[in-house]
Amino acid sequence: MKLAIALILFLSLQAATNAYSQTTVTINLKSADFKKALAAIERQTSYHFVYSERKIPFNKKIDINVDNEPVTRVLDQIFANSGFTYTELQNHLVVIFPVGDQVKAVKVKGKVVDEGEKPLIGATIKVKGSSAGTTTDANGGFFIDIPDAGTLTISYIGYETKEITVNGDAQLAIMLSPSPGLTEVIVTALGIKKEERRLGYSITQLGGDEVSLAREPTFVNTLEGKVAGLVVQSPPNGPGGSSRVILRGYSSFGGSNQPLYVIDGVPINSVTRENPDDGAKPYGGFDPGDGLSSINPDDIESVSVLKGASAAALYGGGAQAGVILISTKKGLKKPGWDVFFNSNTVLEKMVPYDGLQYQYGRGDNGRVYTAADNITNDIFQTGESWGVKIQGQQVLGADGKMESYVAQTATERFDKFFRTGFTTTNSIALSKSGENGSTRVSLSDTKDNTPIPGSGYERYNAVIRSTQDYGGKLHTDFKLDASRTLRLNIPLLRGDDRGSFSKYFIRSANTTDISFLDQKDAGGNYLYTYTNPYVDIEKVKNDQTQNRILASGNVTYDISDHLHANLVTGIDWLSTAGLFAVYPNNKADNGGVLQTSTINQQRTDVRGVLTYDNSFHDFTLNTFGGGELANSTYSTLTLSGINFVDPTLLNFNNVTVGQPIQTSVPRYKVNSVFAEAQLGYKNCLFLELTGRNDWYSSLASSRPNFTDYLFYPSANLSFIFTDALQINPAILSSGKLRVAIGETGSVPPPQQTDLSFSFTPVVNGQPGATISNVNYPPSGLKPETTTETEIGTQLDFFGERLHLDFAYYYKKSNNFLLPISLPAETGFSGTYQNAGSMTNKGVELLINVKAIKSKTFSWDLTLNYARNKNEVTSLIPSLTNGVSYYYNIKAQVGYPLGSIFGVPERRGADGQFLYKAISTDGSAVPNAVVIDKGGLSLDKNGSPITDGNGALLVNNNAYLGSANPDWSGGITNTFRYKSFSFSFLIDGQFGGYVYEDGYRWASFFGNTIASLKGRDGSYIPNGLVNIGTDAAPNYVKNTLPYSPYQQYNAGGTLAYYADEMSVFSRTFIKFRQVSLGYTIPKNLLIKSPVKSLTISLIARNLFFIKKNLPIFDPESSDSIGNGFGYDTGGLPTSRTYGFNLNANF
Amino acid sequence: MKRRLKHIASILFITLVLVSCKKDLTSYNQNPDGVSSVKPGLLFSNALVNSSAQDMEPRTNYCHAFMQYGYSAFWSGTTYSLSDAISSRYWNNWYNPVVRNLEFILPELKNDPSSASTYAAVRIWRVFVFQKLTDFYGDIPYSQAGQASSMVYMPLYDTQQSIYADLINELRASIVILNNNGTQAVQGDQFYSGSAAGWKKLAASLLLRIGMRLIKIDPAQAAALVQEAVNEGVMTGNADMPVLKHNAAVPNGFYYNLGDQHFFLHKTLVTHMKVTGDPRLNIYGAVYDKGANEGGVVLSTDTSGYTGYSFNSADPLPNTRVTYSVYHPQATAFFEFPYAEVAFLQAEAVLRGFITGDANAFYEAGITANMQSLALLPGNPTISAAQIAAYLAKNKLAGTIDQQINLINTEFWVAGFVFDADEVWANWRRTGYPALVPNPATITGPTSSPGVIPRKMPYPQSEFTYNPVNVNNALKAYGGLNDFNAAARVWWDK
Repeated sequence: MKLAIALILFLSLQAATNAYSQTTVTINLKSADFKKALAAIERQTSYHFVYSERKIPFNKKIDINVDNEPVTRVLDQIFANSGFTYTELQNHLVVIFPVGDQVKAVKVKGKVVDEGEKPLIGATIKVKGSSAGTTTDANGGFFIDIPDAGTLTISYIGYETKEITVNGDAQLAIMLSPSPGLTEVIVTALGIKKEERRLGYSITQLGGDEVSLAREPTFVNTLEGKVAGLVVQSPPNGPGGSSRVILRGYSSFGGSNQPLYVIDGVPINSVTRENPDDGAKPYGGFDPGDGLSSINPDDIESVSVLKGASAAALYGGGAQAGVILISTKKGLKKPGWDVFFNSNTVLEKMVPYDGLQYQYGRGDNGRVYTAADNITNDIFQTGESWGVKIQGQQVLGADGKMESYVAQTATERFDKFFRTGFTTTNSIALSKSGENGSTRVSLSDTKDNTPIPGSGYERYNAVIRSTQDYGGKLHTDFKLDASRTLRLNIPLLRGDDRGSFSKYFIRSANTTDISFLDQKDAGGNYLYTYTNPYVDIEKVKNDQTQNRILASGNVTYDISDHLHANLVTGIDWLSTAGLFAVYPNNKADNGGVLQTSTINQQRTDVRGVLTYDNSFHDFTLNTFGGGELANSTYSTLTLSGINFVDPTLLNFNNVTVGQPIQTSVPRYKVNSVFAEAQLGYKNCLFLELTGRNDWYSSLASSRPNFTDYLFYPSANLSFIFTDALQINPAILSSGKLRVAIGETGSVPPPQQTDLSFSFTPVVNGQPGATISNVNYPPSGLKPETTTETEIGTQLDFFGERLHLDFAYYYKKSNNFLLPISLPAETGFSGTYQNAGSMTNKGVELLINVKAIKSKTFSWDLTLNYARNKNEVTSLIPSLTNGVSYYYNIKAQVGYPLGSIFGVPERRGADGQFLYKAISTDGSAVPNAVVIDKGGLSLDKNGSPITDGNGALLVNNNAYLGSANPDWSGGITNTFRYKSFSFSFLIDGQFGGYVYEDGYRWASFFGNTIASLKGRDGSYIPNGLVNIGTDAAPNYVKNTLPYSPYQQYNAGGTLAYYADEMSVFSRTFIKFRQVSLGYTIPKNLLIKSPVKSLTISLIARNLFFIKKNLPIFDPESSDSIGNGFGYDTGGLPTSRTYGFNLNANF
Repeated sequence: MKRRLKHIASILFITLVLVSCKKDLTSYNQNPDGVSSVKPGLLFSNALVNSSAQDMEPRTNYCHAFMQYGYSAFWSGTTYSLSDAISSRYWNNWYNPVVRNLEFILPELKNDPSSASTYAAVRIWRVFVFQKLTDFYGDIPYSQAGQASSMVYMPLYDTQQSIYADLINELRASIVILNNNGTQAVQGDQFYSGSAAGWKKLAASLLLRIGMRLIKIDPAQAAALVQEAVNEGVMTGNADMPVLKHNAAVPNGFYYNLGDQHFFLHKTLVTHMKVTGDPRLNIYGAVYDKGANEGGVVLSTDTSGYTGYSFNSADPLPNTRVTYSVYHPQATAFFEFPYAEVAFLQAEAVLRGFITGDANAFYEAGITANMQSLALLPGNPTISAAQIAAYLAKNKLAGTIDQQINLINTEFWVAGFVFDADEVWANWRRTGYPALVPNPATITGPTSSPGVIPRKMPYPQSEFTYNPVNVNNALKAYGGLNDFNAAARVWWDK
């Protein structure tokens, strides 16, 4: 960091000396031509020159040697006896012409508008033959002095450039027409802006309004369904929770599969902390968040998604899972003040669980509870829904009193428990522009009272950004974004016995009123603690406060017109304080638990780049090279204690048993050099080569045989074949072919290469020490790499009425670093190894149709589709059984990463269930059947294969499906009529499975619709039943009734439950978003200070058009990492309705 | 031009910074929470401490149950049923971290003349640990164990015979080193304040233990080794025995196992000690009202009222539990290798004609030393000289050679109570004494033999996952049996 400051100072001082020496020059040239002499002056001053090339004697050589002379005297010297003279116009514009010619300065006033006669703000006006010029103001107007008969070049991004020759003072009205495509300027790797035509790889850029209009606390969630190849899953984990963003499938086994987020050129921390597993971590069970929600969507100018390795190769390691570049807003380049105000209000309602049964009520095994049942036992308080048919009869209730037997629907229970969430966001931004720069200041606050009582989210942002030009050569851009995010009572996701929100709805009897659980004794203690969501609200405190500073500085110095130096420095500092407390009167932690955690994350980057651009005849050359220093530290400190003295106090003096302090401080550095060269031919063929070399501290070791660096190359080719082959633009307006290959990687986990020791307590006066590594650090580790090849095309038909973008990619990821378990006799529990590889291949398609386009009405339709197929292709022999991520989610050779494995239901050759005969009354005679579990291997004839003794070979670890979708896509329709716009988005994910453990519990408690089948004992499955055992099978035709109670519960033993019964297709189609906007016509605002005003109504997550998973949201997951796909009953989905007001003053 | 130079200089500066930063990558990758190197003595000290600081559940749950020292409804050992979590614990606790630390320091010490005696001590302790491991499990990874640094991730198993041969060589080599470096202090020494002489006695005593272990499989070598050990000079009193003085920060491993309600003394032990009038009985156990974890208090230390647990359910319920105030405190000193065992082994060796001497003197020295050693425990329970004399008078070494060997090894059994139950189990397998009647109500596993006290600990289940080829090869020597089956016996127990 010190280095960064030193470099900034160094360049700033240089800049200062340059910025103010505007009128004098120091030149020593011998026999130079005119152009060179003039260029030298232009470099040192703010003068620009205009001349007619025909009229300058090229062969005349100039000798000049001046020291700090005023420019005018130098010019006098140059033009002495040359037959040329000059005159100075406004803004240091110098016109050179032959002596005797008349040069008259003319005043040009103009206005630049688009086809709809709307002013184009910030369009560039240049005097041809010079770099002098101006830009249009807020009304599209400009004013400039130019030599008479001079030519103006008017350009604006996305529009065709126009040239106008001016004779005499003029008042111009200039209309620009949109360019025919491929001219959009895209932010690419390292923040380099490039015209779309020059890109040989797939990249998607979205405007800021895509994330700010219909908003979510975490901006990236709103990209769902909008970018082909980008799968966003935002499990309902509470606001500010982690988002799961997967670009073109998994790229890593053990590391993060989340993209690198780069804001204004600076990579930020976006650690997705794996949802802790309850079993291993005593106080897990909530999503700790990834920090991305601290970004205010109103500050986002654009988002670029670098999907493939070629696009991201310049980021080297860390870009393995792709890169998302975020550019934030700058002050407008127009004079005066601008004030932007945005107010957003959202109402949020939980959508009641579906798929629950209300026909049979509280009870056990087909009867209602009686006094003989031990109803003081926790589980019977709320009970199971294995009772009798609900007919309003009087039965013994949970509190031991008689009550009416009436079902409580999910809707009724939701209404009693959840509230209407209410989120307000107010953002105000001020933009002021001066002659040499602009400043933008933005303030924003968000307050979200979620539908979960007691839970909330707050965010405060303050951003200042200042861009300055010093004398036309030095450009600076500084930004500071300070934010504070509070997540209050983050919901517990998994059902441990502290109580979680979702648990009650699936693990209690459907005739027990939820308010039964909301009863306390005189001491304020809940009477019932089992699956009690009220306990979670009142007796559990789970808060996170995150403070963050995101700062960046970007200094560019134009060494010459062709050579530019750029220095970017950035810091992302994050401090998260967590408080987790469980008051006594809670089933699991009856004595009370207090835990505080502090997480400090810091990431700094310093990057210096030298850019050289030039053109020679038909060729263009764009090159740059530079270096980068990245440093990341992460420290955690956790303090905890249990057993409170005073049950109401959260204070470490109040705990009677302190737990050991836990700390961890992983850190790493990456030093890099990189370079890129792009050669263009006739503006229609571009070849780009890039290379980056990373040196990783994570692979450095004091021990021999460690290679700590890796080189990441890439190449891509863009061919605008419509231009090259001169295809008729009336049909195919533009067409591009892309071919790219590139390599990226990931930063290995740090502190794994050296042995480390820790001291142990003194015994008998002797101190001790031990090796503290759990995993043995081997030599020869290599970083993970991903090599990707892609080809694609981009076609515009009928003048952009139909736009089509297609990509095919194949990527291979190698050298996965995985912790491998070792047998104890090695002395270590495990080691790190390069242990596997996998492939992804897929296609992406984007179609945009401007179906109707008239002055008053338009209809745009955008459709995207992406298919990805992942396969684990190799694992080292010690991982023959695969890598287990989270319960049933594994990686195994031949299957996609994140596949579900478990006990299958037993099926015969015809695919029909095979049943098992059981006795429910303790007698030896079977009296019921259930679907048997454990897969059979069948021979060619369909007969089960047995071992030598006739015992069935049973497979209890079968592949039950992949958690990854086969394909995903979205359709956006946008209609505009005069000042109204209406848009809606439908998206979906198809294929893929989820292991829904919550469903297992819902079945166990008799709450699923599936548990109704055969309840009355009348269902006799038509199939084969094993009346023997697996060791001595005997299959006969079934005559016994099916018992759902035995199938799903079996007296609380789950003896006949197969994992496959919890596995459901994840396929869904969601009516994701709809918005209606009205922009108040300009003429109504003329007399008000308001420049523009837009009002929108927005709704998100309206309903599922299709959903295969009963009860839960198919996007729910305990794990947001590689264990994605296993859910223990997620929170319900919520539906939001909002109102947005956007005004510019 | 000057300016141009400045720009070039600034770019060069950046490049230089990049290159120079590369150097600190290595130090940056060292764990900021850890220490990058420590003195070998510290690791040795830790290895010694960890040899008895780890959970002692295999000893309590199995060895105490097998040897009928005690009983608990919670112990799978009581009914000879297999629990991998418990039977694998010595494998897991000793290989990692004890063997790991020992194997790590050996190459560091090997070529350092100033650490020669430490090098010898580390090798001696490695013998101590590996003998316990192989006596427990049979053929085990030995030559390739603790070699993760050489990327040996699936070590081969060595036969017990070859392990024993190497252990003997190691002891001999260590003794030579100590003879040559007698004045050098042993670093990290927990037992002898760095005295090389103390370690030499321990080495010789281990040689004696190994020699006596071979009486069934190779009596000639047994005799030679015992003679060699005695010539080198074995322990001669309690002052020579390695005792680990635990404290609250690093408790005695039994602390984790004796705190619960479930350690009743066994009827076999109680009855025997009552018959012999053993003054140790009311130190070993007391009548408690309830378990220690329930706040139990001593009701009586009058041994006449002591009732141990009986396999026969018709017998009265037990009332005598291990004395928590003596054996449960975190700071209870741990007797790694009681001198009494050395004396008893010599007594037997005399009777067997391996060495010359007075068997009775060794016998009495063993009993006396053991009774006196109890004073090192919390509360300093003292047995008076008069009590010792009375006990010796009542329990004289007499009868046929075999009867005397029985008496000696029964005393070995009584003396090994609590600390050395695994050694007593090995000694019982070697000699058949004391004669124990197995629990008739045992659980039979897939291949266990009912009603027979197990003679080999099964291999951990994790071996079948992480080192499957080698463990399955090793298992062939035991007829493929990885269960409590009487047919599965270690090499010296044929």
